[in-house]
Amino acid sequence: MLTLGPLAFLQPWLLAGLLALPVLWWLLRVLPPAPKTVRFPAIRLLFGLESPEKTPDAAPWWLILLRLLAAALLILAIASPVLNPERGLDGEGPLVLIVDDGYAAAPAWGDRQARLASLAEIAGREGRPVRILTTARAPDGAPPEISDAMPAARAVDAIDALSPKPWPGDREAALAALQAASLEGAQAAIVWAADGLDGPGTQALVERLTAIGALSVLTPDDRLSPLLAIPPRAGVSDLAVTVRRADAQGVREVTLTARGPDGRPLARQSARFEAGEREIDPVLDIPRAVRNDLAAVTVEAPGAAPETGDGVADEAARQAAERVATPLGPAATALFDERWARRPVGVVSDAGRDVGLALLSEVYYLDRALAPVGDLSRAPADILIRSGQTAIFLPDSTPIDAGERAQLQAWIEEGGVLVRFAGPRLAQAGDDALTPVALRRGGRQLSGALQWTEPAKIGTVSDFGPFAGLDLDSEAVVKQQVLAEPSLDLEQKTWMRLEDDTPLVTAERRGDGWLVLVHTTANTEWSTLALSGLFVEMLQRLTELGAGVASAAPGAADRPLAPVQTLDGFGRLVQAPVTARPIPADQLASAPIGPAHPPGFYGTETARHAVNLGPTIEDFRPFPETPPGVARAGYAPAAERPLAQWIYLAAFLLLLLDGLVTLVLRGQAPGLGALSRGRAGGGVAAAGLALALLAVAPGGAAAQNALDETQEVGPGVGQSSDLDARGPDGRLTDEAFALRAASATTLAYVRTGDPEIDRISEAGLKGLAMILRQRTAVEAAEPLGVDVREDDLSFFPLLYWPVTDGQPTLHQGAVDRLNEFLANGGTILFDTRDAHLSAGRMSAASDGLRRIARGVDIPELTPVPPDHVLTKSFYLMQDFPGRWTGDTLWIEKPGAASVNDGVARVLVGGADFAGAWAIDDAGRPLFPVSPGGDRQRELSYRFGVNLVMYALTGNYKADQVHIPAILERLGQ
Amino acid sequence: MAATVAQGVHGRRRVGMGETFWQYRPFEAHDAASAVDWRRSARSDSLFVRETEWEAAQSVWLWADASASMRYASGRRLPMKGDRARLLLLASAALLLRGGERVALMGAEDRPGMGRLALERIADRLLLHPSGDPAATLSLGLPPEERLPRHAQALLFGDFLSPAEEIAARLAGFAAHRVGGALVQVLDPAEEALPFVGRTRFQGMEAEGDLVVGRVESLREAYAERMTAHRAALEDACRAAGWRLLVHHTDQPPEQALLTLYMAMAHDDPHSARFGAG
Repeated sequence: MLTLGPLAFLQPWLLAGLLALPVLWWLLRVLPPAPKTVRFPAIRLLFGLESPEKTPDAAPWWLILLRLLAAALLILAIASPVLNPERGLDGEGPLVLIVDDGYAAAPAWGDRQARLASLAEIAGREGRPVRILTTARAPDGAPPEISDAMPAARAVDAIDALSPKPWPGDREAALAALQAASLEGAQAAIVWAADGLDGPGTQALVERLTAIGALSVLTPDDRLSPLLAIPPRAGVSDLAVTVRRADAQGVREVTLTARGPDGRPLARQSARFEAGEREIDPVLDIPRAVRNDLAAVTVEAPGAAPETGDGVADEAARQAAERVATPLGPAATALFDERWARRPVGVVSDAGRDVGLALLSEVYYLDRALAPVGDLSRAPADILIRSGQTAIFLPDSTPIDAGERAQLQAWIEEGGVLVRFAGPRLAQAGDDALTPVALRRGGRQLSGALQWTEPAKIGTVSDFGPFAGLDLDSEAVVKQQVLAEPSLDLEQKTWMRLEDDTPLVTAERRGDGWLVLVHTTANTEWSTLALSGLFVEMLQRLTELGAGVASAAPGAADRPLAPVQTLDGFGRLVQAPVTARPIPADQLASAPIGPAHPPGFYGTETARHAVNLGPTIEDFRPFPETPPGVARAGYAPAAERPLAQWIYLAAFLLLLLDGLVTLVLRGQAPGLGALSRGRAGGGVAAAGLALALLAVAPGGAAAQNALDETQEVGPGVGQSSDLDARGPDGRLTDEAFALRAASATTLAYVRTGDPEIDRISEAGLKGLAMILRQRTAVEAAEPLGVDVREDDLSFFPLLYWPVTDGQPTLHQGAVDRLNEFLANGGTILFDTRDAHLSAGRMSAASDGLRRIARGVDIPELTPVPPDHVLTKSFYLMQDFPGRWTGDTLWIEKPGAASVNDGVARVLVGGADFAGAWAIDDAGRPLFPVSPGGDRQRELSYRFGVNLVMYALTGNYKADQVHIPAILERLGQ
Repeated sequence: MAATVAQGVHGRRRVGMGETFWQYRPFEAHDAASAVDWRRSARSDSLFVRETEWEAAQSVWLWADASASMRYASGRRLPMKGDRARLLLLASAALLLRGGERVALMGAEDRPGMGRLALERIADRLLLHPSGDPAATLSLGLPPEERLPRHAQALLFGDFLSPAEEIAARLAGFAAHRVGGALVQVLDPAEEALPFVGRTRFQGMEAEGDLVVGRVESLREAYAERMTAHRAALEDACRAAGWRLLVHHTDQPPEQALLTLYMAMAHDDPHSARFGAG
């Protein structure tokens, strides 16, 4: 290696190639440049001309210089130049890397790997093998082992494969491994990539290593030194995470991030170690709504401190710093399970014995007030106690018997919080032991018809209770309360008073728990407290009195809890590795954290128990002072920078330039002909032009893309084919169906499933639609077949329903849909199509109609009266023939109901109307009418027109009947 | 240009068939009665005959070099020599036709024509079927040895870089038939000045072969001498045949060449007597 100030060459002997440059110069001078080619008509005059100058034309000096420069750069690049080369390694033997890869090694692990890899590369340059010893146990629990000597390239791979482990390192075991390797006399260079913590065996290991060779210890800088995060006691209301550091020097900023089970950040907060502080416990402010989602709090080192001023720049810098915040590993991650999150609260309620209006009941008010506080359950007291609750609320309206009373008593002793509400029942009760204070019988009424007193407002709260500091600015008033018997300790038991100093909330410590009494009702019977926001806050604070309740999963105390999710070495929650073993439930707190039990969540997916690493670490001190002769350094990334690639790039660019210039000089660069006359400027301008071309090309492409996109957008809009979009089964899609049906007045027929009848129906309605378009203002569109069981009928004013035997019975949904259709203005024409057979009697088709219409709201029917609107809505007619004649057309009895503007909802006929209306594509009738004649067909069309008009215009024509009378009246 | 040309240069200054009044002449016995100008005669006792100036149209044969060497332009802004030559040909044809001459394209086996139709025919031959005549490309820059009518005029446009002897022989052939005319040598400025520098490979455009020159600039003077000598030889050949040699460069405006050409054909031409002698 040749070192020239900050520059060094790894292969200096290749620089000898520079000696060849003068030869190259000479060659370039002697060899004439390639001639440029010119087509010239007057060449005949040139033949035979002798140039008086014999020296061949040489390439211009600047071109030769360019080429020489490129050649020199290539030679330099081959010699592998390096900027700021690393100092060489000490000693002559192998490079031994001791790598701490315990929980504390996680911060900026990538930097450590890079540093180690660069050390390995130095060893490779010097031709020295590398041996690696990690200090943490492997996931399978195997003690650390020193690797065999390996070449640098493999060592770099091995370093890349290392990752920190979520358990403490074992330096004693590492020491044992080192002793087994017998490296004495190897003159090794030893680098210990330490995690910055002291631990058992550290001193011995240092001594041992200094004995083997020259030791240098790398420790992380203060910003990234490890931290411990210890979750708060389960059940407390404040989320105060204790953060501990190994030393107490200087000021240190940390960021606490609360995360959900999926790693998503819920809240973020920064905290600060002042100089001399080893431990802080910042309180995380998490919205109550997301608190139940809390799975972990990770402590992170903020990014490099922003030094900018205030304002926008500062904000941006802060965000940038948050983005690059470095997690500090598994020990700096506090896991939270249900003990912290869920607050099961119960309201004692007995559905069987509760009386009164549901929306005025105390249980209802408690329900609403407790919903944001925790998981609410309503059950009789014994069930609540069995299922485990933080707090139990007992409204006055729920009576409890003696057995429950005893159970509640015992439950309070064990740490439960029972909140009772007073009320008429308690006021009338004799001796009730389940109150914090002795009560007077009867209670006190502050407001009523015979009272002069005003209802009392809330007065004060005691300094010592959970209500201390509560904002009492509330409109709530108390009209009635129960009064405590005066006693000596009443003052100590009172947490809240009315403005006349009578206690409103009293409490008593019983065993480990609390018995709290609110001296009024939980509903509005006695006070308006239950309507105020204060009520919710009071209940919240009362709930937080209670300790957390471990989820009561059934099973023995020592049942094994399998790992669900564990932390990896970086403090991320991942799937538990196969090497993780279950922990017996009763040893959760005491199980040693190691390869078998990595920190994480144990139990089941629904009942998870957090096993934290932070609280288990007691010996948490910084790396001790090292004896003189041991070098200390940080993990700052290596400043060494290989330059070969950049020089290659420069040489390549120069050669490219040379090629361009040569093209120009030979006159072969298209469009550059004019430049060929300028000599020195030509090359530079050509290069500039090439760059400009490169810059323009993507822009042009982008413009082209934009053009393409606009072209694509254009024709997509308003395609009429949307109207006919069909689903995979060939039917119209819902949307297309709606579009078709709603875009014009559409006659619809019911598809029977018989293709022949459906075809006739369609042809018939087509013919009717044609007649309507010809003769009336109704612009009827192409008819549409509908399936009453699936399609939306609300688009159609009139349904033509041919009745066949084969039609299936309607299911309830279809019946409901039909009833809705009829109720909302629809009209159905049932056509039994059998008038020629039945002659007015019942027939098979009539049975079919009866079967189909079962459940449909068919009104009472009557033959069409002679003065019915149907007889005059467009044409005046009395008979309603179809393909057959002589059949009676039945219609809803007029005046039976005023729905639907008096338009009959149901018509029943048997004359096969569609058969008479049906036309083919050429407009010719499809079927003969019987007994026959154009008049019959015409009359059937007229009936169709009248029917559609009737369905569309309602009783308009019926009103016309009264015109003469109205005019007569007006005339008078 | 057109106004200049329109002034009567076509008058033959003698009595003959024509439309312009020339003189009144007393009636003679051999004159037909219809020749009497009754209006003039009525003013006196004798009869007069009205005579017009003889306006015989000249037949002019035009030719433009269509060989490969004419497809050359040294710069992007310069027109090709061939384009310029055809432009000059068409312009002079238009002027001649306006002057009442009869014009034909050489080598097209065409009869001299008059009026717009002839111009259109020439333009058609020249522009739409430029290579329709294989003889034009084979002749390698020389006009075809065509038998022109005696006393016809010829206008030849080309670069005339062929050996001067060949051109002289061709001109002598024309002169033998008493065909007069002018050569218009259309040259690119680069052919005049040889502006190239450095090592250059010259490629002929008519398969003359390649030539590599080490330093072109050193040949410039010798080339200029040769060019001068070639032109001198051309002029000699023209003089001997009684023709005119005009030199036009493509960087000059074509109007200039046309004006020179017109002057040469009309006034300054020492052989303009020929026009009169017809």
